Amino acid sequence: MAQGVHTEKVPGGKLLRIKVDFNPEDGIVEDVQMHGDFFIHPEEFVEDIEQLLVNLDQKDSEESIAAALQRLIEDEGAELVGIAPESIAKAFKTALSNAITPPPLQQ
Amino acid sequence: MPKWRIIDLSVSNAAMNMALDEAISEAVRRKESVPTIRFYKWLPSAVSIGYFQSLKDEVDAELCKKTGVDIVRRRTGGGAVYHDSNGEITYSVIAPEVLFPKGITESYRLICGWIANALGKAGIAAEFKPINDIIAGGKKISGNAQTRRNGILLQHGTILYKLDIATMFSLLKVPKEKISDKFIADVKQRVTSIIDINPQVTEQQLKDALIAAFTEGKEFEFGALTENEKAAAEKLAKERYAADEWNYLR
Repeated sequence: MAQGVHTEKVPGGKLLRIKVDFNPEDGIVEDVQMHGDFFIHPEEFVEDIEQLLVNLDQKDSEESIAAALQRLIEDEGAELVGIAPESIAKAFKTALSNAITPPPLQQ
Repeated sequence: MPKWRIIDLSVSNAAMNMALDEAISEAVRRKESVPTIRFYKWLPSAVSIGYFQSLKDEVDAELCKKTGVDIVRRRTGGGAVYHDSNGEITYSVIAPEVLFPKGITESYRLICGWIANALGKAGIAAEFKPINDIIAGGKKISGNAQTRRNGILLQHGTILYKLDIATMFSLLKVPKEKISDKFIADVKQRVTSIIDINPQVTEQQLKDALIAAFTEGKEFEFGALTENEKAAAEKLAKERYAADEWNYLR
Protein backbone atom coordinates (compact mmCIF):
# COMPACT_ATOMS: atom_id res chain seq x y z
CA MET A 1 0.00 0.00 0.00
CA ALA A 2 1.30 3.43 -0.92
CA GLN A 3 0.03 6.63 0.60
CA GLY A 4 0.19 9.98 -1.11
CA VAL A 5 -0.46 13.21 0.74
CA HIS A 6 -0.93 16.72 -0.49
CA THR A 7 -1.50 19.76 1.71
CA GLU A 8 -2.52 23.06 0.33
CA LYS A 9 -3.61 26.41 1.68
CA VAL A 10 -6.59 27.35 -0.48
CA PRO A 11 -6.09 30.95 -1.65
CA GLY A 12 -8.40 33.15 0.45
CA GLY A 13 -9.58 29.99 2.19
CA LYS A 14 -8.55 27.23 4.52
CA LEU A 15 -6.01 24.44 4.80
CA LEU A 16 -6.86 21.27 2.89
CA ARG A 17 -4.95 18.01 3.23
CA ILE A 18 -5.85 14.97 1.14
CA LYS A 19 -4.44 11.52 1.81
CA VAL A 20 -4.81 8.82 -0.83
CA ASP A 21 -4.23 5.11 -0.11
CA PHE A 22 -3.26 3.50 -3.39
CA ASN A 23 -2.63 -0.16 -4.12
CA PRO A 24 0.21 -0.25 -6.67
CA GLU A 25 -0.41 -3.94 -7.43
CA ASP A 26 -3.90 -3.53 -8.82
CA GLY A 27 -3.78 0.24 -9.39
CA ILE A 28 -6.84 0.84 -7.20
CA VAL A 29 -7.48 3.81 -4.92
CA GLU A 30 -8.59 2.16 -1.70
CA ASP A 31 -9.21 5.12 0.56
CA VAL A 32 -9.28 8.90 0.49
CA GLN A 33 -9.24 11.12 3.56
CA MET A 34 -9.84 14.81 3.55
CA HIS A 35 -8.64 16.86 6.52
CA GLY A 36 -8.31 20.52 7.38
CA ASP A 37 -9.81 23.57 9.06
CA PHE A 38 -12.48 24.19 6.40
CA PHE A 39 -16.25 23.95 6.90
CA ILE A 40 -18.78 21.71 5.18
CA HIS A 41 -22.50 21.87 5.90
CA PRO A 42 -23.74 19.29 6.72
CA GLU A 43 -20.49 17.92 8.14
CA GLU A 44 -21.16 14.29 7.15
CA PHE A 45 -21.14 15.31 3.49
CA VAL A 46 -17.34 15.06 3.64
CA GLU A 47 -17.82 11.28 3.46
CA ASP A 48 -19.76 11.63 0.19
CA ILE A 49 -16.88 13.66 -1.23
CA GLU A 50 -14.33 11.08 -0.10
CA GLN A 51 -16.44 8.28 -1.59
CA LEU A 52 -16.71 10.09 -4.94
CA LEU A 53 -12.93 10.47 -5.02
CA VAL A 54 -12.38 6.77 -4.22
CA ASN A 55 -14.70 5.66 -7.00
CA LEU A 56 -13.80 7.96 -9.86
CA ASP A 57 -11.72 7.07 -12.89
CA GLN A 58 -8.11 7.99 -12.10
CA LYS A 59 -7.67 9.33 -15.61
CA ASP A 60 -10.33 11.98 -15.04
CA SER A 61 -8.97 15.47 -15.40
CA GLU A 62 -8.97 17.98 -12.56
CA GLU A 63 -11.70 19.87 -14.42
CA SER A 64 -14.00 16.88 -14.72
CA ILE A 65 -13.47 15.90 -11.06
CA ALA A 66 -14.31 19.46 -10.02
CA ALA A 67 -17.45 19.33 -12.19
CA ALA A 68 -18.51 16.00 -10.66
CA LEU A 69 -17.99 17.43 -7.16
CA GLN A 70 -20.01 20.51 -8.07
CA ARG A 71 -22.91 18.32 -9.26
CA LEU A 72 -22.79 16.28 -6.05
CA ILE A 73 -22.80 19.44 -3.93
CA GLU A 74 -25.80 20.82 -5.81
CA ASP A 75 -27.69 17.52 -5.73
CA GLU A 76 -27.24 17.21 -1.99
CA GLY A 77 -27.69 20.90 -1.20
CA ALA A 78 -24.38 20.95 0.67
CA GLU A 79 -22.29 24.03 1.28
CA LEU A 80 -18.48 24.31 1.36
CA VAL A 81 -16.74 27.17 3.16
CA GLY A 82 -13.01 27.84 2.75
CA ILE A 83 -12.54 25.16 0.09
CA ALA A 84 -14.03 24.62 -3.35
CA PRO A 85 -14.49 21.75 -5.84
CA GLU A 86 -11.46 22.99 -7.79
CA SER A 87 -9.17 22.95 -4.73
CA ILE A 88 -10.36 19.45 -3.76
CA ALA A 89 -9.81 18.15 -7.32
CA LYS A 90 -6.33 19.66 -7.47
CA ALA A 91 -5.28 18.37 -4.04
CA PHE A 92 -6.64 14.91 -4.86
CA LYS A 93 -4.79 14.67 -8.19
CA THR A 94 -1.56 15.80 -6.54
CA ALA A 95 -1.93 13.37 -3.62
CA LEU A 96 -2.72 10.53 -6.04
CA SER A 97 0.34 11.25 -8.18
CA ASN A 98 2.43 11.42 -4.97
CA ALA A 99 1.10 7.95 -4.07
CA ILE A 100 1.92 6.53 -7.50
CA THR A 101 5.31 8.22 -7.76
CA PRO A 102 6.53 9.23 -4.30
CA PRO A 103 8.13 12.67 -4.38
CA PRO A 104 11.82 12.79 -3.41
CA LEU A 105 12.32 13.18 0.33
CA GLN A 106 12.69 16.77 1.31
CA GLN A 107 15.92 17.70 3.03
CA MET B 1 -39.25 39.13 18.74
CA PRO B 2 -37.86 35.96 20.33
CA LYS B 3 -36.89 35.92 23.95
CA TRP B 4 -33.34 34.77 24.62
CA ARG B 5 -31.91 32.87 27.55
CA ILE B 6 -28.47 33.98 28.73
CA ILE B 7 -26.49 31.38 30.65
CA ASP B 8 -23.81 33.15 32.63
CA LEU B 9 -20.18 32.04 32.68
CA SER B 10 -19.77 28.44 33.80
CA VAL B 11 -16.81 26.09 33.88
CA SER B 12 -16.77 22.50 32.60
CA ASN B 13 -14.43 19.99 31.09
CA ALA B 14 -14.05 19.69 27.33
CA ALA B 15 -16.44 16.79 26.72
CA MET B 16 -19.14 18.43 28.83
CA ASN B 17 -18.73 21.82 27.15
CA MET B 18 -19.27 20.29 23.72
CA ALA B 19 -22.06 18.07 25.02
CA LEU B 20 -23.86 21.07 26.50
CA ASP B 21 -23.76 22.93 23.19
CA GLU B 22 -25.33 19.92 21.50
CA ALA B 23 -27.89 19.22 24.24
CA ILE B 24 -29.04 22.86 24.17
CA SER B 25 -29.28 22.74 20.34
CA GLU B 26 -31.53 19.71 20.62
CA ALA B 27 -33.70 21.36 23.30
CA VAL B 28 -34.05 24.49 21.16
CA ARG B 29 -34.96 22.34 18.15
CA ARG B 30 -37.71 20.66 20.17
CA LYS B 31 -38.83 24.12 21.33
CA GLU B 32 -38.31 23.04 24.95
CA SER B 33 -35.77 25.84 25.32
CA VAL B 34 -35.69 29.36 23.93
CA PRO B 35 -32.75 30.64 21.84
CA THR B 36 -29.72 30.59 24.09
CA ILE B 37 -26.42 32.38 24.52
CA ARG B 38 -23.95 30.69 26.83
CA PHE B 39 -20.54 31.78 28.14
CA TYR B 40 -18.08 29.24 29.43
CA LYS B 41 -14.54 28.26 30.31
CA TRP B 42 -12.62 25.01 30.17
CA LEU B 43 -11.28 23.19 33.23
CA PRO B 44 -8.90 21.50 32.81
CA SER B 45 -7.39 23.45 29.92
CA ALA B 46 -8.19 21.70 26.66
CA VAL B 47 -7.47 21.43 22.96
CA SER B 48 -10.49 21.32 20.68
CA ILE B 49 -10.10 20.29 17.07
CA GLY B 50 -12.36 20.98 14.11
CA TYR B 51 -14.69 18.23 12.90
CA PHE B 52 -12.61 17.63 9.75
CA GLN B 53 -9.19 17.62 11.37
CA SER B 54 -7.06 14.58 12.07
CA LEU B 55 -6.41 14.40 15.81
CA LYS B 56 -3.11 12.63 15.20
CA ASP B 57 -1.98 15.31 12.77
CA GLU B 58 -2.98 18.23 14.97
CA VAL B 59 -2.43 17.35 18.63
CA ASP B 60 0.38 15.95 20.77
CA ALA B 61 -2.00 13.59 22.59
CA GLU B 62 0.74 12.13 24.74
CA LEU B 63 1.82 15.51 26.09
CA CYS B 64 -1.83 16.47 26.66
CA LYS B 65 -2.31 13.34 28.74
CA LYS B 66 0.89 13.93 30.67
CA THR B 67 -0.01 17.54 31.46
CA GLY B 68 -3.70 16.88 32.16
CA VAL B 69 -5.03 18.74 29.14
CA ASP B 70 -8.34 17.49 27.68
CA ILE B 71 -8.78 16.85 23.97
CA VAL B 72 -12.13 17.00 22.20
CA ARG B 73 -13.37 16.96 18.62
CA ARG B 74 -15.99 19.64 17.95
CA ARG B 75 -18.96 19.03 15.74
CA THR B 76 -18.12 22.29 13.99
CA GLY B 77 -15.39 22.66 11.40
CA GLY B 78 -12.48 25.07 11.73
CA GLY B 79 -9.09 24.72 13.32
CA ALA B 80 -7.45 23.39 16.46
CA VAL B 81 -7.74 25.68 19.48
CA TYR B 82 -5.93 25.67 22.81
CA HIS B 83 -8.43 26.67 25.49
CA ASP B 84 -6.35 27.86 28.43
CA SER B 85 -8.37 27.68 31.67
CA ASN B 86 -7.36 31.22 32.47
CA GLY B 87 -6.71 32.58 29.02
CA GLU B 88 -10.03 32.96 27.24
CA ILE B 89 -13.79 33.16 27.34
CA THR B 90 -15.82 30.90 25.04
CA TYR B 91 -19.39 31.60 23.95
CA SER B 92 -22.06 29.71 22.10
CA VAL B 93 -25.10 31.05 20.29
CA ILE B 94 -27.84 28.48 19.71
CA ALA B 95 -31.04 29.45 17.92
CA PRO B 96 -33.31 28.61 14.98
CA GLU B 97 -31.42 29.49 11.81
CA VAL B 98 -34.35 31.56 10.55
CA LEU B 99 -33.25 34.24 13.04
CA PHE B 100 -30.00 34.68 11.08
CA PRO B 101 -28.98 35.61 7.55
CA LYS B 102 -29.12 32.63 5.21
CA GLY B 103 -25.55 33.10 3.99
CA ILE B 104 -22.89 31.53 6.19
CA THR B 105 -20.51 34.50 5.93
CA GLU B 106 -23.32 36.97 6.64
CA SER B 107 -24.35 35.08 9.76
CA TYR B 108 -20.71 34.99 10.94
CA ARG B 109 -20.59 38.72 10.26
CA LEU B 110 -23.66 39.31 12.45
CA ILE B 111 -22.53 37.29 15.48
CA CYS B 112 -18.88 38.31 15.14
CA GLY B 113 -20.17 41.88 15.09
CA TRP B 114 -21.48 41.35 18.64
CA ILE B 115 -17.98 40.28 19.69
CA ALA B 116 -16.37 43.27 17.97
CA ASN B 117 -18.87 45.51 19.82
CA ALA B 118 -17.96 43.86 23.12
CA LEU B 119 -14.27 44.42 22.47
CA GLY B 120 -15.08 48.02 21.59
CA LYS B 121 -16.80 48.42 24.98
CA ALA B 122 -13.56 47.11 26.55
CA GLY B 123 -11.61 49.77 24.66
CA ILE B 124 -10.27 47.46 21.97
CA ALA B 125 -10.99 48.28 18.34
CA ALA B 126 -11.76 45.03 16.51
CA GLU B 127 -13.40 43.89 13.32
CA PHE B 128 -14.74 40.78 11.62
CA LYS B 129 -12.35 39.21 9.14
CA PRO B 130 -13.98 36.60 6.91
CA ILE B 131 -14.18 33.67 6.96
CA ASN B 132 -14.49 33.29 10.73
CA ASP B 133 -12.00 35.49 12.59
CA ILE B 134 -12.04 38.73 14.52
CA ILE B 135 -8.93 40.85 14.36
CA ALA B 136 -7.61 43.70 16.49
CA GLY B 137 -4.66 45.75 15.27
CA GLY B 138 -4.39 43.34 12.32
CA LYS B 139 -3.99 40.29 14.59
CA LYS B 140 -6.42 37.50 15.39
CA ILE B 141 -8.10 37.87 18.78
CA SER B 142 -11.09 35.56 18.30
CA GLY B 143 -11.84 32.41 16.31
CA ASN B 144 -15.35 31.16 15.60
CA ALA B 145 -17.06 28.10 14.15
CA GLN B 146 -20.61 27.49 13.04
CA THR B 147 -22.81 24.57 12.12
CA ARG B 148 -26.45 24.28 11.16
CA ARG B 149 -28.42 21.17 11.76
CA ASN B 150 -32.15 20.42 11.71
CA GLY B 151 -32.90 24.11 11.38
CA ILE B 152 -30.76 25.12 14.38
CA LEU B 153 -27.70 27.32 14.12
CA LEU B 154 -24.88 26.73 16.59
CA GLN B 155 -21.97 29.12 16.59
CA HIS B 156 -19.29 28.91 19.21
CA GLY B 157 -16.04 30.76 19.48
CA THR B 158 -13.34 31.95 21.75
CA ILE B 159 -12.11 35.39 22.75
CA LEU B 160 -8.46 35.39 23.77
CA TYR B 161 -7.87 37.08 27.09
CA LYS B 162 -4.27 36.07 27.75
CA LEU B 163 -1.89 34.19 25.47
CA ASP B 164 0.43 31.37 26.38
CA ILE B 165 1.97 30.71 23.00
CA ALA B 166 4.68 28.36 24.28
CA THR B 167 2.14 26.00 25.88
CA MET B 168 -0.25 26.37 22.94
CA PHE B 169 2.33 25.21 20.42
CA SER B 170 3.78 22.48 22.60
CA LEU B 171 0.33 20.83 22.55
CA LEU B 172 -0.59 21.61 18.94
CA LYS B 173 1.54 19.77 16.44
CA VAL B 174 3.98 22.11 14.94
CA PRO B 175 7.30 20.50 14.09
CA LYS B 176 9.23 20.88 17.35
CA GLU B 177 12.21 22.39 15.61
CA LYS B 178 9.92 25.22 14.47
CA ILE B 179 9.11 26.22 18.06
CA SER B 180 12.02 28.59 18.31
CA ASP B 181 12.11 32.13 19.63
CA LYS B 182 11.60 33.27 16.06
CA PHE B 183 8.54 31.07 15.64
CA ILE B 184 7.00 32.49 18.80
CA ALA B 185 7.81 36.01 17.61
CA ASP B 186 6.11 35.20 14.28
CA VAL B 187 2.97 33.94 16.03
CA LYS B 188 2.91 37.14 18.09
CA GLN B 189 2.72 39.03 14.81
CA ARG B 190 -0.46 37.16 13.92
CA VAL B 191 -2.28 36.48 17.21
CA THR B 192 -3.07 38.78 20.10
CA SER B 193 -5.15 38.90 23.27
CA ILE B 194 -7.03 41.40 25.41
CA ILE B 195 -4.20 42.02 27.85
CA ASP B 196 -1.62 42.28 25.09
CA ILE B 197 -3.59 45.30 23.88
CA ASN B 198 -5.00 46.69 27.11
CA PRO B 199 -3.57 45.22 30.34
CA GLN B 200 -6.13 47.24 32.35
CA VAL B 201 -9.08 45.11 31.20
CA THR B 202 -10.07 42.46 33.74
CA GLU B 203 -11.69 39.19 32.80
CA GLN B 204 -14.83 40.33 34.62
CA GLN B 205 -14.95 43.48 32.47
CA LEU B 206 -14.54 41.39 29.32
CA LYS B 207 -17.38 39.11 30.39
CA ASP B 208 -19.65 42.06 31.24
CA ALA B 209 -18.86 43.64 27.86
CA LEU B 210 -19.66 40.38 26.07
CA ILE B 211 -23.01 40.00 27.84
CA ALA B 212 -23.90 43.64 27.15
CA ALA B 213 -23.01 43.40 23.46
CA PHE B 214 -24.61 39.99 22.85
CA THR B 215 -27.91 41.07 24.43
CA GLU B 216 -28.11 44.52 22.84
CA GLY B 217 -31.53 44.98 21.22
CA LYS B 218 -32.74 41.57 22.42
CA GLU B 219 -35.42 40.62 24.86
CA PHE B 220 -33.66 38.27 27.27
CA GLU B 221 -33.37 36.90 30.76
CA PHE B 222 -30.65 35.10 32.62
CA GLY B 223 -31.43 31.44 33.01
CA ALA B 224 -30.00 28.08 33.92
CA LEU B 225 -29.78 24.77 32.12
CA THR B 226 -32.94 22.67 32.34
CA GLU B 227 -32.82 19.26 34.01
CA ASN B 228 -33.37 17.65 30.60
CA GLU B 229 -30.46 19.57 29.07
CA LYS B 230 -28.19 18.55 31.94
CA ALA B 231 -29.16 14.89 31.67
CA ALA B 232 -28.82 14.85 27.87
CA ALA B 233 -25.42 16.57 28.12
CA GLU B 234 -24.13 14.08 30.70
CA LYS B 235 -25.06 11.26 28.36
CA LEU B 236 -23.57 12.94 25.27
CA ALA B 237 -20.37 13.79 27.14
CA LYS B 238 -19.88 10.21 28.19
CA GLU B 239 -21.02 8.45 25.05
CA ARG B 240 -19.67 10.80 22.39
CA TYR B 241 -17.36 13.62 23.37
CA ALA B 242 -15.21 11.68 25.85
CA ALA B 243 -15.06 8.61 23.60
CA ASP B 244 -12.03 7.76 21.46
CA GLU B 245 -14.39 6.62 18.72
CA TRP B 246 -15.52 10.23 18.27
CA ASN B 247 -12.27 12.03 19.06
CA TYR B 248 -10.22 9.82 16.74
CA LEU B 249 -13.02 9.74 14.13
CA ARG B 250 -10.83 11.31 11.44
